[in-house]
Amino acid sequence: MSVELLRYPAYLLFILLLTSMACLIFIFIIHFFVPKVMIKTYFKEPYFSPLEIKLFTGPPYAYIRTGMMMRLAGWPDCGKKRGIPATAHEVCPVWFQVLSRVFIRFFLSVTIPMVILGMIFFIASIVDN
Amino acid sequence: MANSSPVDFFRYSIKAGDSLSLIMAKFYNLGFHSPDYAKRLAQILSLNPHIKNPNLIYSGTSLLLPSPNISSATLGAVITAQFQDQMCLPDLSYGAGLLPSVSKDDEANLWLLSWLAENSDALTIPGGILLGAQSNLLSPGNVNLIREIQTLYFDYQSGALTKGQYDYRRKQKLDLLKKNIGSLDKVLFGNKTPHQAVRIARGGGIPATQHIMQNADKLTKLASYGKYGGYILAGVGLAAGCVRIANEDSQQKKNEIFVETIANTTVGVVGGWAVGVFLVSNPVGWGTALVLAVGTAAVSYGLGKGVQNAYTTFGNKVDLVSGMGVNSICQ
Repeated sequence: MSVELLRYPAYLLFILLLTSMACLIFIFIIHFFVPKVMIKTYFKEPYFSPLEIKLFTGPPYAYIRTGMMMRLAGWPDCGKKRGIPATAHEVCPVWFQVLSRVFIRFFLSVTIPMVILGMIFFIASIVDN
Repeated sequence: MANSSPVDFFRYSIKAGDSLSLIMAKFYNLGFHSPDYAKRLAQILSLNPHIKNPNLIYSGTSLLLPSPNISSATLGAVITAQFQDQMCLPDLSYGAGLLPSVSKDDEANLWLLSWLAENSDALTIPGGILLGAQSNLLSPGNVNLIREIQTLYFDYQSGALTKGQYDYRRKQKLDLLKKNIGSLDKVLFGNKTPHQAVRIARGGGIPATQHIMQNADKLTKLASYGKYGGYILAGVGLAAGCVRIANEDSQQKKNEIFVETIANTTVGVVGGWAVGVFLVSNPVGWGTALVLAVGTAAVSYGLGKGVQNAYTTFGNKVDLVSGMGVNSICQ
């Protein structure tokens, strides 16, 4: 197989990596716009363990809590195992619900192919050696 | 033959991520800009004729290196006499240790630090998550559970609690502690369960609550280490990447290190966020949490190498290090 065949997948990998970096910037911005009422209402016991609450409050891991809240806003049923009511999304504005649904889908559509392509090139580097 | 040689040599097995520059920095404290760098490099190459390209060495193969305490000038004379004339080989029996005056423990620490410096960029995020998790395992809430047992004991001593009440409440506190810290209990309590470690001292000669207070103090100290561990590791990761770039002589190699560092750090942070999105619907125990952290580390490491490979093959015309001013920061 010609190495040239991998040229465009390589370019695609670079683009996906840059896009995922842009996603991170977006996450750090949106972190400050997560509705406080949502955090106060649902990011507490008994829905989350004391360890989770402490770990994901404040730097450096608070951005992970933002991901949790966005998932909850976009897909309210997802908190069923934690006992979070399916009406959880109602406490946050519609723009946050819509943004969460769009962003998480976009994020996954970027990161999943990025990981697959990255692993292909990783395996290629092992085979090369 | 061993005693006739004026210079000692040792064998070094090349490890993944090593380069000649890194090896020279590690053993001889020589950076690319050091005056003796080129001379020492030439000497190493003449000692190891199997290296055809100094920018391409393979992990697992071995290098013959001169002892770090020998000067370039002396070594040059020895190489001329012993190698170019093909008269005799230098003493290789010395290769068991790095330096005769360094203890085995210190040598092991040096290897550990070298390995960390090489791999810390891939470890930064999951390592930080694990250390952060550790600090929360050791949160004041958990430490207080241990201290409350002391209060229960005092209540029992003063007659406010019966023996049965004391035993029951102590067990409740310890069960909760065990539940909070999960399978790491034996690590934190020196191969004992919390129930075995946090107990009344009955031997006499020491206060009855000494074991309880010792464990509470120990966990408090560990918690303070863990709290800052994530930040320290992140700093080490950035500094190590910068040092690797500074010590590398080839611009191509500098770019490869830069691309790899950026890629696996980005993937580590992105991976952490993705794990959060997953965790909201799937609360996990500590076993799964560890698997997730290790998995994130593996993916960020693999992807870093993959992106580096893609850059080496198809993107090497773009000089990111110069273009982004990394050269001026990492000198």
